[in-house]
Order: sequence, then structure tokens, then C-alpha cells
Amino acid sequence: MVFTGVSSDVVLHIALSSRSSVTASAAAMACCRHATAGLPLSAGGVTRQLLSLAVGVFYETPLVPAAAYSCMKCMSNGKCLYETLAADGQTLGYFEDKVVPLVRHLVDYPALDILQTEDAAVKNRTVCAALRKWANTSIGKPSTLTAREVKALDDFIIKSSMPRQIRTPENSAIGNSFAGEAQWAAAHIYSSFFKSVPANDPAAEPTVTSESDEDNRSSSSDNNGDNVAERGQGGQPDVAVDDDSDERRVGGQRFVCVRLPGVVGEEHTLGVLARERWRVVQRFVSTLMAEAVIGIFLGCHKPAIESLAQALVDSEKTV
Amino acid sequence: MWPFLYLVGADLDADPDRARVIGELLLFELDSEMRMEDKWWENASAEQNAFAQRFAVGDRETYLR
Repeated sequence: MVFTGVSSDVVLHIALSSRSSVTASAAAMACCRHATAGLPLSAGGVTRQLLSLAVGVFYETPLVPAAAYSCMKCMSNGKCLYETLAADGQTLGYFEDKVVPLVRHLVDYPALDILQTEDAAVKNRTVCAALRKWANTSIGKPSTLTAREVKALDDFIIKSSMPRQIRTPENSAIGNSFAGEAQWAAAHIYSSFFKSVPANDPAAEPTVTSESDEDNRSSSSDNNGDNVAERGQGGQPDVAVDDDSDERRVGGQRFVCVRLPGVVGEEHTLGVLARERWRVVQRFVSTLMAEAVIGIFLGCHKPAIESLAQALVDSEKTV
Repeated sequence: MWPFLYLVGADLDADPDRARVIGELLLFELDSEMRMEDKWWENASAEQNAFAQRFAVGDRETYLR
């Protein structure tokens, strides 16, 4: 009873002193959830319903005196309780001393401003955009590339053909010193699955797996839940919409990015399974190569994953 | 990540180069995540550190308090 009385008083104060009805309702709801957060889930829900009912009934009893507020423009009431007053019957001021600060740990956590390419394996922004666009392309359809993307992808793949230094298994190599190796690895993985060809090349023809392209496109967008491939700086598309524009031509030819046939064993399986396999590859390439991967190992046992990765590097057959 | 490893895992023994590059990519991502986590904690306030420290033990009594 005491708890309910105090809660009603607090919510009443919030309603009277909030800047608007929206903030009042949000603050009242936050207060209610804060007060019942320690209860079990079912009991918390029932308690919140009862509190809402009690507050609703309680609000019908008090009479708010007009002297509590004064006009913002003329300040006719100099002895009002609240400093800032109703305007247009909606906006109310608030007393900072009376407002109980609600600590919202999740909201108040610091946010890091991270560039998308800062901790991605691929550092080139154009290549990252092309990979993300490619990841959202329907299976069985080649992805049209801009001239800038063709050049960036060529440079990117050339790096994987360069001789590399042998990495020593010392932990001091953690961090930026790994970036070159990761970029080399990313280029190797990319060139194992994809290649850029002229649009009139026979390899650029849609594959047999495109028979239910519409279904695939819808399920792909459902699964991804994002459209980052089409997003550039400032939310603008990275690529032009017009397929025949000069921006898409390299030496008078349009280029497309295609999947290497047979890499995931699609010739021996059903079309739907082949599409699913390619979708897995595309998602892996986009997520682990073209994005700053933060939180992907959340909840996983990182030492075990590190052991797995190290075993893969050492080409061990068992972990 | 896991579906991809399941997909290519059967052929990794026959292709040590691919296994190696996948392993290197995973190591890089792990290192990146740990480095970002360190940067995140550098920006954390004293209250957030205290909050995390309080629940770091993970015992039942702490949550019931």
C-alpha cells in the first residue's frame, strides 16, 4: 500500500512537471519498470498493470490548482510552484531537483565511433562496398560492377598473388601487424569463390540455380535484415542506378562479378541447396571481410576459437 | 561463420592453403574484437566499471541484492 501510494505520487509529479505528455508517459513507464525490475517476470507484469490502474484511479482524485503554473510570456504568477509553465496547454516545464534520475546502464554505456573499414580485413572502402553489394545479390545473378569497383577488386586480388612473409607464431604479432596477413587471406578467399569477368563473357550468364530467383531474393533479404550493400557514405548508394552509364564501363566494357562454378559442389546437389551454400559463402565474405566485426564472437569461448584458428593455420587435422 | 566452416570443412584437409587463410582471418577478427573491447573499456566511466565489477562474479546473491 505504501509502495503504491509513493509510486502514484511520483508518477503524478512526473505528469505535472514533464515537458510534454510524451515525455511524461515515457518517464512514468520507465519509473514503473524500474520499480518492478526486481520482481519475477510474471509478477512484474501483473504489478505494472495494477500500478497503472492505481495511478489512473488516483489521477481522477487530485485537483491541480491553477496557481501551480503561470503564463510563460507574462509570468503573471510570480510565486508558482513550478518554474516553467504551460504553453498552448501542452508544454510543461520541469523542476530538475524533483526529477529522480533513472540510471539506464545499457543506454549510458559508451559508444565507440568505428569506421566500417577500420577493423575489417579489407581496408579498401570500394572493395568493401562491392563485397557487401555482392552479398545481397540474388544467387544465380551476376553483380554489375562500376569501373571503380573493377579496378579496386583487381588491385585487391593482385595482393593475394604476391609472395607473403612467413608469420611467426608469436603473440606480439597481435593487432595491426596482422592486418596485412588478413588482407592477403581475404583476397585469397575471395578469389577462391568469385571472379570479375566482362558482361558478355559466357561465365557471366545466369546459372541454373537462378530458376527461383524471386523466392531467393525475398528470402535473402529476410535473412540479412540489412541493406548495407547499397549504402555508401551518408546513406547514399555507392553505385549508379543506370546500368549503361559510363561509370560502369571499363575500356568500353561492362564488368560483372560471378561465382566460380563447382566450388561449393552445386553440380551434384539440388538447386535450393546450392543457393543456400552460396548464400553462406556470400554472407561469410561480406561479414568477415567487409565489415568491422564487433561482437561476432559474443558468448563464444574465444580461447577455443583461437585454438581452432591456430589449428587451421597449422593445417592440423584434429583439434 | 559456423555454416561456412561446415561448408568448407570437408575439403580443408585437402587444401591446407585455404585452411590457413581461413584460420588467419579468424585470428585477425579475434584480435580486432579484443582490441575494440579494450578501447571500449577505456571509454567506460567509473560507474560502469563498478557496475561490471559488481556483477562480474556472477553469483546469485549479487543479483538478488
